[in-house]
Amino acid sequence: MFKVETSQLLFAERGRSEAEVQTPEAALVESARAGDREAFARLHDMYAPLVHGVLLARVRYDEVSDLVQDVFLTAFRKLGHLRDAERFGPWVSMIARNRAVDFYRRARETEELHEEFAQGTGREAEASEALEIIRGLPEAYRETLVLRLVEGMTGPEIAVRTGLQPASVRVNLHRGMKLLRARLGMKDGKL
Amino acid sequence: MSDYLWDKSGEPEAEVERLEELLGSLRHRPRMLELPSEAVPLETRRPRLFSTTRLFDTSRRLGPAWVAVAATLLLAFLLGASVFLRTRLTNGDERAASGDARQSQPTTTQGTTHQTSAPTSQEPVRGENKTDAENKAEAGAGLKRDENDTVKNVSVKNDAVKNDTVKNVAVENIAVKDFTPGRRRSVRLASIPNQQKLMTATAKGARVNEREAVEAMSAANRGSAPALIESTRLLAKEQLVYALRLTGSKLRQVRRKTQGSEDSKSGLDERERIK
Repeated sequence: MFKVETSQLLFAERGRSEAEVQTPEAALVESARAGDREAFARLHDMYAPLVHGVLLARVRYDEVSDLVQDVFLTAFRKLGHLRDAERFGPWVSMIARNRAVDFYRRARETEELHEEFAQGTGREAEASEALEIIRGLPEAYRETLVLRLVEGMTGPEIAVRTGLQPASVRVNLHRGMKLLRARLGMKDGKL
Repeated sequence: MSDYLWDKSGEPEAEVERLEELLGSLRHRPRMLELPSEAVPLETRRPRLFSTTRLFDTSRRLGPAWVAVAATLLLAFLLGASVFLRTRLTNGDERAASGDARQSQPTTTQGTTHQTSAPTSQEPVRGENKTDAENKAEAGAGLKRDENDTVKNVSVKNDAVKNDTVKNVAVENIAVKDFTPGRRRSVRLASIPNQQKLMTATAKGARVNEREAVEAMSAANRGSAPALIESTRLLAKEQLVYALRLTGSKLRQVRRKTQGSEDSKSGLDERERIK
């Protein structure tokens, strides 16, 4: 009798915890899978900064906006591939990384435009120069730093959105910041 | 470790704040998602082989693949059914044949005893033929008695003639089943020596009309169809063997003659040389 009660309680507890675990993002993913465009638009609003940051860590700023649209269009079409609705962030991040690689495969001839952009107004030029230095960092650091410094996310947010361990994000942030300081100091001396 | 870099808590770091301010100009600017109207989320999960949802999905079931599968199954079923029926029929025939053979054995022995005792042995056979003829005649759409009588007489005469012919040919123990016209007519010979006798008799020039003989045999004894088919095969085989033997013997004779002439010619040449 006691065992039955315990198992029933455990079962009820598990069911409750499963129901609680499902995030609003997962519910939106399920709705979007069913063809709800509004739900996907909300997902876009939630995850666009993440995708933007992931792309910005690899691709030029003026290209990123269009690529974000491409990434979300691809995500919408391939939403059936996503097995775990809870992991929409890591999944869409991976699509963004692949899209950046694909972008460099296709458009290598636009390097000159980048140089022109770098010679723009002083503030933009300084920002793009700093971004270029970040892009020169190891891959593990640059994405985390861009998400933190450009997109304004906190470490825990980055961990949740990208699916990385918080400890890893923390380590990447601090090591990346250390490297960035060193490179900026070597280059400019102002920062 | 600064908490500000990690979660923006605590005292802000000047370097981090400046970088945030500088790089913040490159931050994502909210933009409306432009999804084309034809864009649809595809359900491209890995197909499962034995998925129930897949199995009972009507749209899939009515697809061309399903139609092909159904047609193949139907074809296979029909083929299987036909093979099964054929085998069953043949088995039934074999069983009937074996059963008839068992039944016909005692009758054949009776036949031998009857035929060894010459004229008396023909009477029961004739009697059977008579009744058979009568039956046929009566069953033949209600003919008049006069006609029946004539038929009887004619059949009796024919049977007598046939039986005589059979006797002349010295065929013993021949079980024959006479069928209605249009059906297969076959002969079952009880033993091969009897067939050989028949063959020898035929070869000697006792021109026996085989058909008549078969009919006569049918009057004598009755067997089942498969057994008779088998006996017919044996008869045909024996005929073939006999024909081959005959041809062989003729060839041998011809060869001897030709060799003899050659030998004689060569002998003459040798003699001439010796001379």
